[in-house]
Amino acid sequence: MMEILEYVANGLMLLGGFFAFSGSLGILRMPDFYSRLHPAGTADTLGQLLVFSGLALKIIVISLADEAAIDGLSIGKLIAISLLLFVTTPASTHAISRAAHLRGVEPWTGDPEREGTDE
Amino acid sequence: MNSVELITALLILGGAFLALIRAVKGPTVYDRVLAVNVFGTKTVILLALLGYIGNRSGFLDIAVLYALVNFLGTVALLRFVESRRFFQ
Amino acid sequence: MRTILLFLVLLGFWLLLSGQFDKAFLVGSGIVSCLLAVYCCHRLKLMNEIYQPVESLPRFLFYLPWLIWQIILASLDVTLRSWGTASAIQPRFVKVPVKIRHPLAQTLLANSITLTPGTVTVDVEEDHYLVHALTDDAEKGVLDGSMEKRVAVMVPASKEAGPDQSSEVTP
Repeated sequence: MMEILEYVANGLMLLGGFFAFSGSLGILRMPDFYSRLHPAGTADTLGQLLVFSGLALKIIVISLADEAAIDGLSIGKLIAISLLLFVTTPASTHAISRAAHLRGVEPWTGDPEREGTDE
Repeated sequence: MNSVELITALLILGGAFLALIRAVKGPTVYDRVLAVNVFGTKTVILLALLGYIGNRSGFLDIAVLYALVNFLGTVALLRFVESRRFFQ
Repeated sequence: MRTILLFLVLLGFWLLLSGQFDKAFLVGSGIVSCLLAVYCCHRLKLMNEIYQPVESLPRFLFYLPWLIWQIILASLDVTLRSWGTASAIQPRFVKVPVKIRHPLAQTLLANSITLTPGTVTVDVEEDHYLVHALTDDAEKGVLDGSMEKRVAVMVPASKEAGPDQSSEVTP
């Protein structure tokens, strides 16, 4: 039972790391500003959710295996950070995109030659 | 059995590096702000992971603070880009 | 009622961050600072259903699993597209009409649209959102309005009429 839970926690963390990495890859590879918002908003949110839940599960599993008291404070802090990022990541994505839209950054429509230029 | 955390930390570090490349390349100011914001999110995750690896629960407090500062920093930077002034 | 709830939440957050449970002076200082924060919120007129939507909380807990499932789908989608070629995306702007007027529900809907597959909210206007969609399917998904129904049931019915002007802080 404990081994299964530990494998689950490891899998969650690795998957979260993979999602966080591919989110950054998407930001690097997408052709224009508005497309880059998509990986920044979603992949990062899932990545942090998976990594933090993996960490919390791991803390629980290890303290159960050692028959020590569960470190509730650390788990509470992990949940607090996760919730905080869950709310602020879409909000800051929206703030950036709105500012860019108001300033008039042009969207990319499929022409590979034209990219947005620096002001 | 610590290798899983190390691999995850390396993946997130690689992601932060990719975001940094986008922050240097641009091309618009907003691309850079977005990349810096993503970099900050990665930093928060990395801080929590490092705290777990090194068995220091104090790192989690820093992670909470960094998550707050990251959001406020993004908004402040956007306001600065909008008005070119820090104060009204 | 809301005052007590806010105080308890603040005290819980303080205890979580500080980890002090037994030293009487420190816990007392924490309680005093929480009371001060509650008083400031009272002076700022932040004690109403827009800033503390207690009534919507149980329905939000039912909404959360669906939202997380949507985030998983969205991340898989965006991951496939970031490892694929540039021809995998056809970006476009969509105007989505929105009937909700409650400020909190509008925020929640905009955030939910950002977190669901292939769409990002760019601008929030009075009666519509400007949404950037990556693909054709994403455009259809955001236009059919099923998410707005899910968000709308969480809002108290009396608040549908319009944003509460009396909550504006006047100096």
